[in-house]
Amino acid sequence: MWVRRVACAALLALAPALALAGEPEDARIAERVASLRADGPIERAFVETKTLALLAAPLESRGVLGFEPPDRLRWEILAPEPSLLRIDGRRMELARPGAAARRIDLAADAGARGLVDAVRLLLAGDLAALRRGYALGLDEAGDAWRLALTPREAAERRIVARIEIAGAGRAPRELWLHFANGDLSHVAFASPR
Amino acid sequence: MSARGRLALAALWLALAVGIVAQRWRVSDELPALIASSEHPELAELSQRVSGGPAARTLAVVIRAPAPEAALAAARELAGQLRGRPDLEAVVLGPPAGALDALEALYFPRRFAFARGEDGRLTASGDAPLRERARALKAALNGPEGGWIAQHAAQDPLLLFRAQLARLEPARRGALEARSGQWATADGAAVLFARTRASPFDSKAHAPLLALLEATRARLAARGAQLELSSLHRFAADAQGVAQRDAQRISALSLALVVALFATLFGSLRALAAAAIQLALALATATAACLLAFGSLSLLTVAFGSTLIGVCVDYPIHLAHHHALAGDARGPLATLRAVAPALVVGAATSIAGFAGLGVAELPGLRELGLFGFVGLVAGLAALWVIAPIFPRVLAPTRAQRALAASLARGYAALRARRHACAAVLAASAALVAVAAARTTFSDDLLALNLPARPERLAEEARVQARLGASERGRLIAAFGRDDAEALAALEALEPHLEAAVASGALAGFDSPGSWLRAPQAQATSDRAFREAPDFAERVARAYQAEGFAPGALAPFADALASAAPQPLTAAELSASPLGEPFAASRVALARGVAYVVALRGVADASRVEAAVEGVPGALFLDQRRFASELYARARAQVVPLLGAGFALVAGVLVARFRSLRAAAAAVPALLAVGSVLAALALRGEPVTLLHLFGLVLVLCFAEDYGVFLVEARDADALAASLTSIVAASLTTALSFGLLAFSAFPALAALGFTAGLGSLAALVASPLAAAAFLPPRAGAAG
Repeated sequence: MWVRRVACAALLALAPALALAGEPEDARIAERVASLRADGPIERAFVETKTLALLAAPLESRGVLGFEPPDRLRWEILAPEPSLLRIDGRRMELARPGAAARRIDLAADAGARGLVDAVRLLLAGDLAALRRGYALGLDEAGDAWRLALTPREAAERRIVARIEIAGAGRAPRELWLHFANGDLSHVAFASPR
Repeated sequence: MSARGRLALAALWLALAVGIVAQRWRVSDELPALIASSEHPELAELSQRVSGGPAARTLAVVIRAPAPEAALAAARELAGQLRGRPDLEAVVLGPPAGALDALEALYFPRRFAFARGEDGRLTASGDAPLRERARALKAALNGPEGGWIAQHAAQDPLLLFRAQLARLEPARRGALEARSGQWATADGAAVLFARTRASPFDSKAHAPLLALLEATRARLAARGAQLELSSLHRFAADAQGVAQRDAQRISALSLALVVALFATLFGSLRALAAAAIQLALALATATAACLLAFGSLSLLTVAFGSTLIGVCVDYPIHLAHHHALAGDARGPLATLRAVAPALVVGAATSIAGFAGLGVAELPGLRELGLFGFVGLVAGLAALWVIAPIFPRVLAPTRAQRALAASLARGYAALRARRHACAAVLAASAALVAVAAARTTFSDDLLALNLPARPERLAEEARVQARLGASERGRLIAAFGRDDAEALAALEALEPHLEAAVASGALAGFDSPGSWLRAPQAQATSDRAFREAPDFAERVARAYQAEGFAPGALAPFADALASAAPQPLTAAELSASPLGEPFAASRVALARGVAYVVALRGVADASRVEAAVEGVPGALFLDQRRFASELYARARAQVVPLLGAGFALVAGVLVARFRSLRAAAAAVPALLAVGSVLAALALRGEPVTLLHLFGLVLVLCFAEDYGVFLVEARDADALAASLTSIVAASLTTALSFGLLAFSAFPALAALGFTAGLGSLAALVASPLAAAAFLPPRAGAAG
């Protein structure tokens, strides 16, 4: 009899965890994040279009996104004004020609973290860190998918309200940064060569 | 007064002096405590404050490990051990929490008040610079930081806040960067700062902390990590350790020699006890007087004080020898009355030698002067209260009798050759004069200190380079009667420093002016924006022409139209999470305040100094040079004071003896002082301030020796005086002779001078007495 009672108690205790594991969206998100993980260095050209309330017309820039596992990301804008943003773990460095490089501690600067860190975490396939930092949502239709990330931290949400990444199969194609002030940044990635 | 009354008085006196010493005991080993300058008193005060200020009290620890995360973890572990220690005022592992919010809260509303340079001139400019700003903003919006910049751009299209942040960036972190909330170097080493409560020179207070850091270094090394340290504390501990070890060794040996001497010559414990109590009274009284007058004793006075034993002990030695060899049967007080003229004249000449120091400009010299003056007066006065301790009749020991007899014979032989003695003295004087003429002086403060260990210096340099630290000991300060005046001077200074950087004289500087402007400057700058006619409209037009949306800058117009914020104050800034680096650069002075500009890479100090010269309220401080200049002034003061002291001594002797007997008393002192200078010249060793202090002592006891001989009334008294000066001289020479072998240059200088001077005086005294005393004087007369 006592064996049965212990077994029931154990099942009751494990129920939330079992339910979570069984939740379809979480599993799909985990699968999607795993599929996006870059196993080797990647480099993707992009075109970024920013639609800002301040400006009469959108701004466009072109550049290259580079990633080297486990957690090195390079966001290089080539035109119209060259600049280079590098993330190495928790350390972000921003360099412009003719100016001293700025180093930013992502652990302390939630605003800076919101801008590009989600991309690094996605390419690193770091689901745990993504879950810690963002509420995740996923829409899928056939091969196409759209992953939504809402920052959990208020300080980060003061700048970035939501991030969306969409793609097909294993390749992310587009990225949207919805800023808290209503501005929008759209990044279109070139297909992998 | 009865013997009991005298002893009770001695007990009361000692209790009072010891009580004061126990209550107020504080030794300051800060050399800057010896500094005072009537020319720039604020610079002297600043130098002193900076030496014990937050930067000087901060130890920087750099930890390297195979992986940066391991280094950060080791720094966190060490910080955990250090936090809560009572000897530490702060342990800083990384940027303060809430720094970014504080920056925004303090500076964003005051962005107009902090606009400088080109930013400040925008209100008076035409449209072209505004359109240029618009293009710069557009480019920034299109960059990786665009999302962040856009948050403020509508209210701050001129990017004034961003410019202020850029100005603060080097002041906030220097060459360091923040990693996971901790300070780290560019190559991944973790950095931790610990600030002690006590001055870096208070080595005793820091010994446990330094031991903990050394243990951590060893533990980390075993884990393949390296800990390196930059701190003044260790240099001070090294120097003080050597000084204390030497001083303790010498003091112990000196005491042992005095005990042995008394035991051998007198065989009386009571004589020894009397001398010990007399010394205790003299030293305790002098110490209490200095503590009452100055609040603390400098290390120099402590070292000097121990040497005063060598002078004070001469008095009971003299009394004891006379009591044993030529004593009055009525008892020690009667003997004391008989030798009193010699003792009083001897002490008076010594006091005259010290009196000059008492009027010196430097408080350190005055402290020495007061210590010597009080110690000698107390030592002399103490003889009258301790005399009853001596036995009523002190029988001479065999050793004492033998020494006295042989010295009397030797002296008689000298008296028989008076002219030869005079010739020897004259020849010696000539030789000494020739050699002493080659005397050179050194005022380099570091020459007085223990040379730092090379491995310490190398480690210090490595850590300082990693931290991109500013220069230690060279800085520029802006002074004012209050914050507003000092900050105004600081703001006037900055363009000159920028010019010095542009000219290559200086690699860079960190000015607290990037944190704070004078209230007046803030108000003027803020008003310039708010009151510029149609400025909001002009900016809107210029920006619209560059592609900004109509009405997009309405928040900027609203900001200009709103009420100006109160100027940022030093108090508000200091109380904020950003206060730490700012507060470290603000030095409150007795009559005002100074803001310290840290300098990096001074390539040409004279050009930097010249750049500052024309700026009212700004001064360049090279602490080593400044201290050396002050030491030079001190030395320049001591030389004439020594001369004046000797003149005073000679005056006392002439007034007392009114004959050639005065020469007999004065010549030993002259020859002893000259011999020391000659020996230094022959060794090629420059004379430092410490040698001069030693010469003051030499002057004192050499005069005593001469006076003791001249004052001898008969053969027995002369024999007693001869044995007393041999005993006194040997005590001084042996104890100081050992001090001369100290690794600490200051102690070695003092020891060499006093040791050699004592021996020279011992030789010169009987020669001078034999040569100059009239034929009928003394036993051999």
